[in-house]
Amino acid sequence: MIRLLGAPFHHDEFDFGDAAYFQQIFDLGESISNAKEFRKSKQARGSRHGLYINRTYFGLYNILHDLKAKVKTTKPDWALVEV
Amino acid sequence: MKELNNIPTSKVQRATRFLKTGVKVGGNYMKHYSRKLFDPSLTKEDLHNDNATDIYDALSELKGSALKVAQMMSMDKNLLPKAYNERFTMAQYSAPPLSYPLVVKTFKQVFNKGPLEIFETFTQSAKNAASIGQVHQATIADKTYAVKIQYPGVADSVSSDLKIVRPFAIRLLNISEKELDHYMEEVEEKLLEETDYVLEINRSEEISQACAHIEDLVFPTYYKDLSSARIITMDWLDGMHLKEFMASNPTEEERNRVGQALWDFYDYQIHQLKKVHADPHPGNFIIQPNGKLGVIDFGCIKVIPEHFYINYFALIKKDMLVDEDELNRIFYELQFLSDSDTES
Repeated sequence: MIRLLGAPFHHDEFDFGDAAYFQQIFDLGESISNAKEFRKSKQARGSRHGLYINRTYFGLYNILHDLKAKVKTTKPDWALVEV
Repeated sequence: MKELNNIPTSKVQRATRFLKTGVKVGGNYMKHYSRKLFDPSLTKEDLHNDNATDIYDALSELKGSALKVAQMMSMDKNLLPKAYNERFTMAQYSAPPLSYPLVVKTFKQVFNKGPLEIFETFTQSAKNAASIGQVHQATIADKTYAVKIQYPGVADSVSSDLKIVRPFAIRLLNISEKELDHYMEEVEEKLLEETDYVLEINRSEEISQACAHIEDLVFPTYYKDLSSARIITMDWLDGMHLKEFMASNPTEEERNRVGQALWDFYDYQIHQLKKVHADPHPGNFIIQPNGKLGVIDFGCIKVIPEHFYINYFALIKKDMLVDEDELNRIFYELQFLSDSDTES
């Protein structure tokens, strides 16, 4: 999920109007929410901080998708250099 | 829209609302399956539509944190059937407003004055209803203000609301109880913060100033002397919400400009401030006639802890040069792996 949501960062410019990309996210969400392993899991998964950060990105991507906007997807400086 | 003269404040009253919804949802399933006997073409989508409508009706009468939870669910668009989502998106714009006498009462409690003793004009009915408050338009001379008034009793009801909403969240989101508990703590903390308007003003000013240099963004000025723990007064921003903007057939250039402003706003908050407006739903943004993006409502701010930041964003650093299938496989695997790995 983190990777899929990270996809726009791997381009200099990303077309949020791309329906195929959002279909991919949707399909992934469906398969995860239906996965038995997940339902049965006793252990809570993911950091609690992720809840609002994921939500922020979902919200942001959804708005950009609704706008059908092409955006220059900037990255923080540290992510530009391989460590 | 019908105005509410009171909100159900006692837990019993609220629970009753949800019970009603529970029964109705059950009823919809019955209806669905009996209708299906006669009309096999009836789709699951129709059923979801019925359910979403009933749940929305119950939630919008509850206001407060229950409505907020509806918003949360609607944000996770991809985890919900389309029908639910369309219905819940409405929660982001308008809930049935509080009546004017209740607004006056709130003003008198806070300022010892009615709204018309403070402002020259003040709209009798709300211009916008948010999840935990409603917005009135007011003027003094040629200045126009947006005055946000918090629904009474919201802060006290957060915890009990969340308990009530639990069974719905489990059913709707299809997640385990354990997982829900884990998140509910975080949700509760954030919701309580949202009811603190003094905190909201301070954070609004802080982030507005820090982001003032970003192109194409507009922030309202906040007026502390006309605000309190339950009332916020700020500049009125003219413009359109996203839906109206898109309906006005903007050019590609105009759309990209708004999108870029939004991206830059979030990029700066997340990576520089490490504090983020964690409520990016269309109702919190206004597209102004000059094409700039107005940001209103800083009720929900997530402070990103350093160790979380490092783990979470480490993933955007690596270049991914694999084919589509491989990528899909990794996405899927990672949901399991990365989630437990970044457990903190």
